[in-house]
Amino acid sequence: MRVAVLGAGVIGLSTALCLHQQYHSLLPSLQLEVYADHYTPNTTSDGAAGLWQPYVSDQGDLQETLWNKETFDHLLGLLCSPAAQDMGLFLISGYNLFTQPVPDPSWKNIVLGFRNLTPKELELFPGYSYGWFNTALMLECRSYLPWLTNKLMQRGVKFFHKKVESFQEVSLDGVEVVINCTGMRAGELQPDPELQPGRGQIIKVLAPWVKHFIITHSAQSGIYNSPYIIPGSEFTVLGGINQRGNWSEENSAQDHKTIWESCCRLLPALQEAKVVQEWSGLRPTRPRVRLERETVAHGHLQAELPATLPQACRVIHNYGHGGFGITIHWGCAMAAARLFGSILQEKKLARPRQPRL
Amino acid sequence: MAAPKVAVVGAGVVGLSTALCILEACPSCSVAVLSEQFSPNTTSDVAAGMLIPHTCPGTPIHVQKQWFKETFTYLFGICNSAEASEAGIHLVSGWQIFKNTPKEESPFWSDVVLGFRPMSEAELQKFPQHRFGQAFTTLKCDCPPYLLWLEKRLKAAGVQMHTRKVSDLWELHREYNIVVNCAGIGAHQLVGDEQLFPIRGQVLKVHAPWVKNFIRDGDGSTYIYPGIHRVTLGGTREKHNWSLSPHPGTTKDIFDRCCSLEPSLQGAQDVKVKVGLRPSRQSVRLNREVLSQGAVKLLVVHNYGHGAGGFSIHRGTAQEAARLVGECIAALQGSSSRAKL
Repeated sequence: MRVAVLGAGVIGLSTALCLHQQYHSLLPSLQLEVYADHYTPNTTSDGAAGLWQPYVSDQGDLQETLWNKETFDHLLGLLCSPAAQDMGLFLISGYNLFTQPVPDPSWKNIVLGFRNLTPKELELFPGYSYGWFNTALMLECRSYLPWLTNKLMQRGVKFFHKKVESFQEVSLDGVEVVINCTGMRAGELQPDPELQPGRGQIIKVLAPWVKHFIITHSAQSGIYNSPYIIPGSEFTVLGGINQRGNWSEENSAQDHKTIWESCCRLLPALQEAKVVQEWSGLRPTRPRVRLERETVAHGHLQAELPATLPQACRVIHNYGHGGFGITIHWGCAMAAARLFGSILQEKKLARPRQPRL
Repeated sequence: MAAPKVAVVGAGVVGLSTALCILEACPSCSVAVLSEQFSPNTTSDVAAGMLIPHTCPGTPIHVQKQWFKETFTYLFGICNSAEASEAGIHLVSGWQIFKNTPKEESPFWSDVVLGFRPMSEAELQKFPQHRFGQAFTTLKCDCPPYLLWLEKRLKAAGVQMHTRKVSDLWELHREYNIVVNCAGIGAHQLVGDEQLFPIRGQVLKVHAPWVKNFIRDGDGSTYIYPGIHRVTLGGTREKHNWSLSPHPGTTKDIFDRCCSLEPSLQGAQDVKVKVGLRPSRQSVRLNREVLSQGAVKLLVVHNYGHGAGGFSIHRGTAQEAARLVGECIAALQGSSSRAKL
């Protein structure tokens, strides 16, 4: 049974691994294939700093909170294993800063040691009068994606350097299930007005004395449109840009200035930091993650086609993770795997009965 | 009388910070630093430079707390400024963990460091052999950067640095009016202080930049302190051991103990082994003394014996020493005006 995963960012590769781990022994005919035109280090995921942290105010979406928790717990469990270093996984503590008191986030009991900032700590951050401290995780994609890739290759998963133009293209070729992890460009496969770019720009610097993440928040500016500083294992990421509707992946001089000045105001010692790289990318932003099944017949896009139609292509959508893809990825991969399981169930029912001899 | 000539003996964290405090208190003083060793070869360079005090049996707690608070406040100010990275001062958060719950759950310094609180159950799960812990944020002084930054400020203020082994304080009486003895473990030989003894510490400095939090076993024997470029893994506390040579068996032992607290250290690279002798004493010797031969006097201020807690209290003791130097200057000026009568 051929299954195609479209997209090789954190969502595509982790979903592929989760699927293979759960079903390859149940389904010996499972043949998993990954299709993407961009691989690490050129995916959107590679640009992210890698901090596990959901948005600070959820729209009351308990499902996403659960997926976030599943991801955190899964990663925490791997922390003491030898794989952690290869995965780019480590603990990190830090600060979330606000200009006024805010309700505690949905993830306060998921992370470790969550608490409010003391007055003395707030002295470190003039202009901010309220904040949180907690210990969370970093998962650096420049290590994690190659690690996932290796795991998949060891399992015999095939990789294709190709931009798939339609579900039809792969289904006509014999693929029975497509896992759509195309992130920002999912709209090219199937129009989705809810999917919008949240353009980000970051500056990577050398600032090894910074040991904490510092994320500021502004109700007016919106999430990640306010300065943040995230130290990685080698570089520190400076950011604070989130422009809705901006499709440009070119670095902007104005945005560079905004990031640099606001981060240096937050941490004056950053003035001595050496700039190593600049990068822009598009957060695949959506009111909710699209994680659902669809049956697509050739040329027709209908959600309600009979499942018994053998030539129909089953699609599992898993895209629209905005600025929290790394944070939620494993929970979504498991949910996608469950949807795959339900497809297998239906296919068993659809198989014609063998005549008894 | 002409500007008093002050010699500070010792160029570790205590000597350099004392010289700086003397200058701040008495800008007209002529100050020189004399030392056999300068950074990166001082005892201070071996230490991780963490601001976590060690309780000193002979000093009242309120004094230790005062010194720690002054040091923490001073470094906190640098940490917040543009000079933080050059001075090697940075914040670091982490955990102090205990196999057995300590008698006092909150040490005297718990309200000086930031965000001090007991660890949660979830946090303790990372350390299955430990049943209690404290989480907090404190400061770290990375050496050599901190010492080099102090040296730079001293030189900018006209302080001369001399590489010189002083065998006897009296040998300085012709060139200087006041000598400040910050010789650390060297004071054992320099002034024959039998109460001063080494507590040998071996450490590893490794490349493991993904380690962002400190971990310290509350019994003081095992610790992981992430610095700017290297993580310090420790350690040992060997009383009366004067050997400065690294011991390979000890290296493996330290590494194993640290890996059991932080398994990812297995991937650490470029392990460098260092040894330092903590200048240990019942209490810091912080007092004045007058050395004389006939009519000739040499005023001495002692500031040594900080043991394992040098970084934690260096600025506080330096300011106290500078105050004592001020008393010496007043005494000199008093006797010189008496001489005029």
